[in-house]
This record gives sequence, C-alpha cells and structure tokens, in this order.
Amino acid sequence: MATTSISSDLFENQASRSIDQEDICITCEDFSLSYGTKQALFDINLKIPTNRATAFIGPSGCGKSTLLRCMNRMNDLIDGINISGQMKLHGKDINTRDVNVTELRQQVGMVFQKPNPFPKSIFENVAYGLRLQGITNKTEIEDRVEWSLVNSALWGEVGDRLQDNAFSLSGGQQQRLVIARAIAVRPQVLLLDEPASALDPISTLKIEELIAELKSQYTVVIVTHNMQQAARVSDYTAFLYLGKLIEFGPTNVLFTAPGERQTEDYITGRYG
Amino acid sequence: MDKANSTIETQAKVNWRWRKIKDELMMRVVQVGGAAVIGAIALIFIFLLSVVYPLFEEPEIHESARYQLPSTALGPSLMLGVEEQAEIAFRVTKDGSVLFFDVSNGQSVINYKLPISDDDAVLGVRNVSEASRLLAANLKSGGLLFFKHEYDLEFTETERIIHPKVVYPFGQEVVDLGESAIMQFAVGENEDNLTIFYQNEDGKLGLTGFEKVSSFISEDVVLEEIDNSFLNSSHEPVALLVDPEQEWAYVLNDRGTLALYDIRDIASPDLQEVIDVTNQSSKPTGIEWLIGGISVLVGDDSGVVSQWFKIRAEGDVPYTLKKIREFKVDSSGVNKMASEQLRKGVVAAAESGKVNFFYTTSERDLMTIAATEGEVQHIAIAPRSDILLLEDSLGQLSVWDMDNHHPESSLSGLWGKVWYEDYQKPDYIWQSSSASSDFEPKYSLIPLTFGTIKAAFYAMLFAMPLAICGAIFTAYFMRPKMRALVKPSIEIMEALPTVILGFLAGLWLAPYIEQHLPGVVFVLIFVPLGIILSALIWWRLPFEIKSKIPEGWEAAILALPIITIVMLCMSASTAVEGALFEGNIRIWMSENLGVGFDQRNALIIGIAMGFAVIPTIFSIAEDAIFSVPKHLTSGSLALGATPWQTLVRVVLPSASPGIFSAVMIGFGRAVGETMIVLMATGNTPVMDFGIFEGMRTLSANVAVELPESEVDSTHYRILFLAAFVLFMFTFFFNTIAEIVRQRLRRKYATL
Repeated sequence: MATTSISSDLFENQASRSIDQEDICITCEDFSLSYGTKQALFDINLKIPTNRATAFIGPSGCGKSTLLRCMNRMNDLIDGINISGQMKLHGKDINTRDVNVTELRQQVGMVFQKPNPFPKSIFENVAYGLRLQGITNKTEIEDRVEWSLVNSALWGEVGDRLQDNAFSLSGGQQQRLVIARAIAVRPQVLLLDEPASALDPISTLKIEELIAELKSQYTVVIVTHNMQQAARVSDYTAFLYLGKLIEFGPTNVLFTAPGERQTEDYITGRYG
Repeated sequence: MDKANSTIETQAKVNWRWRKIKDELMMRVVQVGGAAVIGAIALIFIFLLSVVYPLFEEPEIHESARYQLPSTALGPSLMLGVEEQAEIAFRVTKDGSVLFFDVSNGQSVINYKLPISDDDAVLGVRNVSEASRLLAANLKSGGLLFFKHEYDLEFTETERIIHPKVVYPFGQEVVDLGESAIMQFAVGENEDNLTIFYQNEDGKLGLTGFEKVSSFISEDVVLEEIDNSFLNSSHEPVALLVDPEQEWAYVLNDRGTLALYDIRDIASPDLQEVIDVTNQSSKPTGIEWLIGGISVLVGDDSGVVSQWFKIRAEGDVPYTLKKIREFKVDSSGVNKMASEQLRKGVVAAAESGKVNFFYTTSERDLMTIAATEGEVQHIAIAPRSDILLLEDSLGQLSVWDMDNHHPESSLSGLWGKVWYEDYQKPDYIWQSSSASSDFEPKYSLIPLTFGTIKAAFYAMLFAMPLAICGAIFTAYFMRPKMRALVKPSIEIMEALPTVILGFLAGLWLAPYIEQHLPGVVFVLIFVPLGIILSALIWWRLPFEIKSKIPEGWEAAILALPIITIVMLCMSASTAVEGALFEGNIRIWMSENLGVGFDQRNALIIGIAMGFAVIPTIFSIAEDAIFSVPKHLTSGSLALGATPWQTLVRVVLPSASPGIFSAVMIGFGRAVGETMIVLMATGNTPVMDFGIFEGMRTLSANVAVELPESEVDSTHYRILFLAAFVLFMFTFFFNTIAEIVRQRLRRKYATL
C-alpha cells in the first residue's frame, strides 16, 4: 500500500528494534518553544536512544534544527526565546539553573551545516576543546588529537600535515575535521545539523560512512533534508511538521510503513 | 506574429545597447573619480616636495665680472664694501680716498677724500658695524677717524639711481688715542656707547670707552671719553675684538691663544681666560665676528676655521670659551674670512686662492671655488648675500653672483642636536622667530615630532582601552537592541567639530583639572577599581534582583557607580589637596617631586583628543569584532567554551588585524589632529614626556606659524617640510591600517 521511493534494501543492515528495548539518552517531555510570540515547537515528546543514530526529517521551517539546538542549549544565544516542558539528558533536565551550560555542551557536541574550522592549524582545531578543558599535557593532547582524527577518518589524509592551516582542507575534509574536533572532547551525544548539505556527493558519502561508525560510540542525532541520507544512516527517524512531531519510530518502519498520512506524503515527495 | 517578434527583438536590442551605455558610462565616471583622488594625493605630495626641495639644493655661484681695481694708481684697498642693492661698491685706499664704483663693470662713480692732511696716511680700515655701515680708520698720525658710507636713492621715471656719500657721524675730528699711531684696533659700538680696543706703536694694549653725546642745538653726536686703561699682554697680538655690548674683549696672539677680558669696567679690565684656539703647530691668521657678536671665528695657517663662544663655566670664572665646531677650508691656510651680514654664513679664502663657503649652525660645507689667481686680500659680501666681491694681490677684482637661499637648513640641523649660540650644550630646539633682529631662528623638527607623538601617545593611552573594550562589549556581549542604540551614539561623537572639543578642553577642562587635580587622579584610580567591585557585587547578587534587569542591560547599571565615584572623587579633591598637599598640589609636586605643571598639558590632550579618536577606533574595531562569522563563535561555544574563552581564543584572534587597523587609523588621526592640540597644548615646543607638561605638534605648528612666515623663506619651506613629515606620518599609519584591513577582508572571504 505504501509505495515509497526508497527501496527496502537500504535498511538491510539495520536491526529492527523497538524503542522500548533501547537505553534512552535524551528525553523530550511536552517540550515547546517560542520565539517571542511565534511558537516554533509544540509539545514534543521524544525519546532518543543511546548509541544509535536518530534522524530528524521534515520540510524547511518545521523546527527540526531548533529542536536539535535545544539539546545543547545553543538557542540560549538568541533573544526572546521561551521554552516550556522538559528536555532531559539521562533523566536530568538540562534547562534548570544549576546546569552548567559549558559542561552540557562538552557532553553534547554539535556539528553545523557549514564547516566551521577555526582559523588555526589542523592540530590546534582539534586540540581546541581539550585546551578549553584545561588539559596542558602535551602528549595527552597529541594522543587525543590523533585518536580523534583517526576516528573521524581524517588521519590518513592529514596525519602528515597537522600544522597546516585548516582552511587548506577541502570542504568535506573540513567537515570531518569539525567532527574530529567535536569528538575530541569525548561527548556522549553528537548533534549533526545537516552536516553534509554543503558538500559534494563523495564527501557526503564519507561523512555518512563516518556517522555509521560513530554511532557505535556516540548517540548521534542528525538533522537532514535528504531522506535517502536519513534512511541510510539512521536507526530511528522523527518526522516533524510545522513544529509538531508527527511520527517517530525505527527508520525502516517509518520509511516503509509510515503510520501517518503526512509522513507518507512527505517521504513520497508530495511536499517539502 | 513575425512582426511582433521583431519588435520585441528590436526593443531588446535597444534595451541592451542602453544598458551597455549606462554600464560603460558609470564605469568611466567611477574610474575618473578614483584616478582623480589618487591624482589629488599625488599632487599634494608633489607640491609639498617642490616647496621643500630648495632647502636641500646645493648653492650656486658664478663669476659675473672681473676687472682691474678702479683707480689702480692709488694702490691696493684697505677696505672693500658693497651696498645693499649690490650695485655700488667702494674701496678705501692708503691716501684716504673712498672710491665708489659700479659693481658690474668697475666704472668709477664718485670719489671722496677723508679729511686728513696730505702727508698723513690711512693704515687700516675696519668695519665697526655692518648694520649702520660705520667704519673706522686708523691714521699714521695717530687716532681713529669714524665715517659711514651712505646712499641716497633717487627714482626717475625709469630707473633708480644710487648716490653714494661719506658721512662723519661723530664729526670730522680724529678721535685721539695718545701720541703714537694705532697698529691694530677693534671697536665695539651700540646705541649709547663706543669702546675702542687698540694696540699702539709701543706695543701697548689700550682700552678707551666713550659715550655718545648728542648736542642739543645741532643734533650732532660727539664722543665723550668716559674712561681708559692699558692691559698687559705677553705675546704679540694678531687681532683684537670687542663685542657690540662692550662687555668682552678678545685678544688673539701669535702663539695661538685667545685671551678673554671682562671689560664691563673699562678702568680695570679683568682677564678671564686664556685658551688655545688652534691645533698644536698651526698659527692663527685672523679672527672675525659671526653676526650677533657672540661667536668668534678663528682662522689658522693649517686651513681650519673654528667657531668659539663662551658658555657658563663651573669653576671660579663665570664663563669659558668653548670650541663649537670647525671647518676645513684648504690645507694652504686661511688667509681671509668674512661673515654674512644677516646670516651665520662664512666665506673663507685660502692662501691658494680657493674660496670656501660654509654655514656655521647647519654645519653645511656649501661650496669651494678656485676664485682668484693671486691671494685674496679682501672679501666683501653684499648684505643680501647675493653678490661676493674678491680683491686679489694682483690688483684684480672679481664679482660673483651667489644663489644661496637656504644654507641654514641641513638634515643634521633639522633632525640632529645643534649647538646654538649662548646655549650650554647642543640641543633640539624649535624657535622660529623672535622680536630681536639678530636672533637666529632654530629649526629642529625633533621637538615638534616629539610633541606630535607625545600628544598622540597620551590620546591613545586614554582612547585605546576605552574604545577597544567598548567595541568588544558592544559587538560581542551587548544585546542587539542596546547595540542599535549605543553604536550610532558613539559614532555620532565623530561628527563633533574638533574646534569645539579643543575649545572645551582649553578653556573649561584645563582650568577645571588644574583646580581638581587630586580628584582627577583619584578618578583614574578608583573608577576602574569601582567597575571591578561593582562586577563582583553584581555576581554575588541574588537571582531575584538580577532577574529584574533585562538581560544584556547589566552594563547600563554600571553608570550609577561610575557617576557616584566621579562625584565623590571630585568633592573630596579640595579637602585632600588641603590635607595632604599643603593646599596646592601643583606647588607641592614641583617642590617635592620636581614635576612641573602646565595648565594645558598632556593629560588634557589625552582626554580631549582621546575623546576625538574614540569614535574612529570604536567604530572600526566594533565592525571587525562583529564581522567575525557567527558560525565560528557557535562552533566554539558548542565545544563547551565559555563566552569569555570564545572571545579570547576565537573572536579576538580573528578580529585582531581589524582592531590593529582601527588603532592605526586612530593613531593617524591623533597625529594629524590640529584644532584640539592648537587650543589645548599651550604650544610650547618642549621635549618633556611628563603628563603635566605641554607640547607643540607638527600640525599646530604649521597652523600657528604658516600665516606669519614670509613666502619662500627658509622658515616657510621648513613649515612645508613639517607638513610633509606630518603627511608621511598619517600616510604611513593609514596605509598600514588599510593593508591590514585588506588582508583581513581576504581572510574573511574564505571563512
């Protein structure tokens, strides 16, 4: 009955599990957000499992990036934001006053749409978060940098030119460098905000391969416009529409047998 | 259908052409505009240089005439002179003839005979005063005869005719100085007195003082002797000198020593000092005044001319003679010297016939010419230094046209220490004019450059922290709403005319700070402390109070403690001054710390000019910080950096070239700023870096002096040089700022 444009062989290596069997990392409970008078998120209830890749899909302006940015409170920087409901990391609300935002962000790392390496060397980019934490031991920093670059599949390409400026890398390499920078501080969660949308297909492929590897160690939350990408990399998918969570479930179920009409319309390309 | 299509096509073609024309036109307009701007700057540059260039031009000289001495039969001259227009010259011969002749061809104009008997003869003639053209002749029969060469001008329809004459200011009587003839003499003369210093046939050195007394009836002036005395000299004098004020007498003797006598009391001359003025083996050949009667020039047979004047001594004599500088003329020995009448230039002739021109203060060796076949006997320089007359031992007279306009300027004089007359040591001095006519202008650009940098330094000291910290806060921490209010307000400060700032600084702030100096110092100390303290208190405040202040407006509350502290400091000022500084801190400082206080000082300039450059620095720095891409800051924050860490590690390094460029432009502006420094510095060209001392800057100097300087004079050209230096300063700083900014722009383009 559901004629999706995505063939089911995409999901062959994804275990079909129920969310109830998962260890939950982030929980949204009646989470709402408004910019001034304009409400952007409406009573979101969502459980994001640990060490899985969860994708947020939905048309532009549906609030998926906003929701993602709430997970490490990047929205604090914006004027006139009001939130209600709860956003919990391992059962603890992250929006209470006793939460140290910088510690939270060390646990919940984030990668943005556009590669944003700092105007420093490759090495210093990766070491940045470590130095922020006050790590001064040189060998430790070097080890962590190497580990991060290896884990972000960049070591082979830049291992011999760590002192080069980060801007000498290609866009895809820069994005992997930013991921290396994020994982260097050993976060639990990695938020990826359309990480491959500014990249060419080959770089995109590399990023996707990287995500597939990272999710064994990190809880990955990825916002994407590209439904094939969501289908390829994620274990769970949430579909948001006009600030509301329409449907959330295992990716193979959501793409092959969406429970909601709106989801089906979206993934079959009727809007978006 | 076809027709419609073709209409559309033609329409499109017309549109296309029209668009192309507009595009081309605008491009040309922009190009012309750009080229015009560059052209205008280049023209300013070229104009400044063209005015400055003659300062460093080599002087030129060429021979315009050469002829046998007029009335050759009367023998060689005892004195040779030229009048101011350099058209008529005269010579005095042994028989007492004063022969006036045309400079250009040697044609005799008129001859006079001094009132001496036929068997008498003139032994020598000396200039007493070049300004009043007074000469004195010593006669074989004894005594001196004073006379003047004077010129009446007559203007016909087409030309100016000069009628020379000889007048006797003290009558035609010979001034009697005893029985024996005068061998050597020197005369010092001023408005009221005249002193004759002489050596007679017996070898005695005599000194006689006279007072000028004018008769009530005929207005004739006669000399009345006041006093006289004789001096002892163990060596044979070569030359004698008396200064115009008749306070000092100099005796140069054949051993190469110069003796200085205090002759303020003519009855008992007091030997001050005897000093060697030549190199070991050389013998002195002559001594001359440099204009002004302060420096003496000593020539010797090794060809060196040295300049000497007296400075204050440390020992038991009040003054000691000091060699200031020397010039090498020619190894054949100095034969004759003459100094210019209006400047400190000297012409010295060597035995070999070479004639050397040099300028004492600027230490410029201007030129050397091989002028005459025989030895030079007399040198006459026209008062305007445009004509030079040389008489040689073969009875030939040569006339030289000189083109020597700015000998007093040299790189060493403008930028180095110069030992000026009556100064204790070489120094950097700017003193371009004075009421006195024999004053020597002193053009050192160092005090002005120093003042410029000092003013800019204090302005930057005040402006830089405020502007940069303000820019950081505004661009990085401030809420957009507040920023929209603050940024334009600060930028509008830039529109404030600096003349108003200068006016306020000079007439309100300067006296106010003078009255409240302790308060101002307290403000400088306590305001930063108060800000830190307020921040600490704010940090400790309970959340309930904090939450009442809209987020991002915390800084606005800071105004309250700042105003309170300033008011407290100011009101405590007088009390503190009374209690700790005996009621007057300025006197207390100069007595206890040795720190002088000018009402208009660097502190005032720092505040007033700082105020003027804050908007410039703030605006550019704020833009630089604000334009650091947001994705960089969020990248850093997302890694768990605090806003402060992000600022220090990502934002400031990225924006630092922009901040640097802002500082450079601010510095350039402070250097070029005129009205504030003109009105609030006191304009004293002193070289003292103290915060309570004034200064004079290049810009204010040009503004003050240029309207009063004579066009094309050395002063005028040096002011243009000052302007050029200023231009180079601002050009340098702005160029650096612009280069850095361009780099920054290129860097951001890749982010």
